[in-house]
Amino acid sequence: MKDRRDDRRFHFRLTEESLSSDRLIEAVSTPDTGAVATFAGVVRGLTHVDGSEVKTDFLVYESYAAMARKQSEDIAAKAFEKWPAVARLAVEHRIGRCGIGEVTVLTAASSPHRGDGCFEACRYVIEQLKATVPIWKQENEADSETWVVGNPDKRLDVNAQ
Amino acid sequence: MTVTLALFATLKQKAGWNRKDICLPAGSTVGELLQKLDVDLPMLGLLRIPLYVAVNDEYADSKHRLQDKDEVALFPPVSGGRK
Repeated sequence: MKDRRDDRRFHFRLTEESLSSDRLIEAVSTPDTGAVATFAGVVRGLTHVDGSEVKTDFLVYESYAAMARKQSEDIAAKAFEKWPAVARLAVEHRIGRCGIGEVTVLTAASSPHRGDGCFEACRYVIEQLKATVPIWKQENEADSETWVVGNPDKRLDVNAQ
Repeated sequence: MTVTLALFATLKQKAGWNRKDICLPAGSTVGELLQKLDVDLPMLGLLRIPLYVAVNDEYADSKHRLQDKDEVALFPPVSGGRK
């Protein structure tokens, strides 16, 4: 039985180079797809947290690369099951230093028509990625640097079990 | 048995290293590993913080029994950010 992770319909890349949604649209397009949905995550300069403002200088992204790829492949496999008309999926994520306004993550999903699940699959992939894929960002402000800790998922937090 | 421990983000920063081989009694669980590490590395607060554990690239819980040459990664919840 073919390992579901060995699926050429899914493209995954971690890179220190700038991301391009045009390139990703091309990567997920096939002769049969007329609809591509994309999501881009971008570095914010100003974040409102609990009544105060955090001014970001830059972010640094780190990843546990082998696991990030495996988890992303699992997410893609689930998305293909949920939306069987989706043809291809792609995720690209920056690692290393990223400045304000830079795109740090792109997800893309293609399907024959826009009603065939490309929007839903695109959203699903980014939501799942943010919950489970081992990538962390370090917030660098004028005089501090802090690793951002996400909200713990009780199913994954060994100290919540 | 020996497992390789990999630390990320805040844990790596506080420990000052990111990768180390750790000797454990054969058949130890993830929970037992964490208890041992909490004694050796008290500054990490491993038993008190929200903590994700992966063994050979798959998420694991405290009861997971480790094997020789496993890679065990410890890290804080991933930086998903707000919706």
